[in-house]
Amino acid sequence: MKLFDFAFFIESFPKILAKLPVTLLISVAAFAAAVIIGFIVALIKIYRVPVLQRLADLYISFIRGTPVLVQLYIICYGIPKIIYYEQVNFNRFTMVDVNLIPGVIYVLVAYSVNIGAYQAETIRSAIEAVGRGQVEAASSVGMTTAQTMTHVVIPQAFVIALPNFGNALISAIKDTSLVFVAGVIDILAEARILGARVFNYLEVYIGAALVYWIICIVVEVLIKKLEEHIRRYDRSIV
Amino acid sequence: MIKIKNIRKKYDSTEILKGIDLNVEDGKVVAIIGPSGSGKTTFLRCINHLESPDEGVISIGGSRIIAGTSQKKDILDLQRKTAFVFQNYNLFRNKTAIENVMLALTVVKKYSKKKAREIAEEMLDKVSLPRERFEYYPSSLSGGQQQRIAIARALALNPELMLLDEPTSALDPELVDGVLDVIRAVAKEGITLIVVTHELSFAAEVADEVVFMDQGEIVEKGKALEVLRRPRELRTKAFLRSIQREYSKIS
Ligand SMILES: Nc1ncnc2c1ncn2[C@@H]1O[C@H](COP(=O)(O)OP(=O)(O)OP(=O)(O)O)[C@@H](O)[C@H]1O
Ligand SMILES: [Mg+2]
Repeated sequence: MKLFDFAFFIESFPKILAKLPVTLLISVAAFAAAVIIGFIVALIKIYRVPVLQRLADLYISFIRGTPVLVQLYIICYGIPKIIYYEQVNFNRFTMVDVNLIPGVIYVLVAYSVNIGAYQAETIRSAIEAVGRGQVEAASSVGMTTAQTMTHVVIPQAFVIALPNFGNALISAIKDTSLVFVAGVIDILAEARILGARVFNYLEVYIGAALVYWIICIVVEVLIKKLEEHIRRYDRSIV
Repeated sequence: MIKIKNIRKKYDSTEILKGIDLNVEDGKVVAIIGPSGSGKTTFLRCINHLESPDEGVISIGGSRIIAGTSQKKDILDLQRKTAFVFQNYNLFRNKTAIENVMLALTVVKKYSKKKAREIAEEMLDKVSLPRERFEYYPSSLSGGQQQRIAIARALALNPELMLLDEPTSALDPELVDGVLDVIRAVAKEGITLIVVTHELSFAAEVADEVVFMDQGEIVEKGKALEVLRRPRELRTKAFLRSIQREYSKIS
């Protein structure tokens, strides 16, 4: 018996690597959606919108206080059940076939909602870090709240939030390794499948780990480059 | 004509402004002086609704705002007729010098980029910002340069009233005179100015009228030279004396 079957590792690595786009797509798309969710929740909290503010707190608290795997299960079982319930009882959503909804949809919903809760806080503090003086300057020249947001606050808040966004994206890449519960074949799921065929898991899991590691380093470098680029162009912020 | 009537403002339960009245004729320069904490900044901020007064009426040009009844639209309208120069400049950090001046022109006034740039260049020339500094971000400019840009940004809007809150007090001493020169030039152009300042000689020279505020009210107001040279009220006298002492200590 070999401790490490090198030939098997070499054979399976490209197959695992081939699932990189799946992982990247899910994490980047979920992250993008999460930034939008986070931004809306941040605005609700900053402007202290009644009722919604309470809901926002509840949402953030729930997401932070429960494992992402449990959230995934709830979405994966919850959404089909709700749709089915509506179809049976109220004859709504009849054009949807619950069994045909691809797992990736559930996964995207679950991770957007999950990451959004964390990003809400990042975005809120970034917006607040821009400062009242900037907002007042915009009011003093007659800009509306929306114009102030678009031209002054968001561009500055983005730069402030960028390091956090980078870390969150890297976390997202790793955290999405649970998507197999929805039947989505990503890096880790592919590794499990390959391992199961020959009852040899160590090689494929090490292969998966390498793929995650490499992509995380690449993303980190890219974010650093982006930060440097933005700071060179505007070294005033941060 | 700018008419400000009975402005009152409370923070929590402390009355900061206790009913301030002030009329300013078009093209005149009013200097507000007074001890720290007397409510000068608060008053200025109430005039263009960076702070909403609890009571009072403000009429500038055609628009008139009655505290408590004003809509968002009215406030925006008022803010578009006034411009504010802040003590600490508050230039947009994500915009270059020239973009700072252009932003409101393109976004609020909807001018074309080209027209906005022409106006911005003219204004920056007027405040004597060297041309090679036009594309710099505020972070790489001196306080004096930043405040000139802030004045250019205000001027570009062609406001009916310009409010300046201690425009030189955050500056290094050697930069003060340059900025005061710019304000002097603005005053000569006939723009109505209300300026809070501790520069008494500047006030004496440039202002038509001087207002002395203390503890949230106007104690004395009148022709600049009269208030500064021959104050009637005891509190004004005491304040002027204390400021002169400060000055002799410095110089
Ligand atoms: N946002 C606020 N909340 C509570 N109190 C405030 C607020 N802004 C100002 N004040 C108080 O109102 C009073 C007047 O302040 P203001 O800044 O108008 O004075 P000032 O005359 O401009 O003083 P200075 O010469 O130091 O600038 C001060 O006692 C200050 O503490
Ligand atoms: Mg002040």
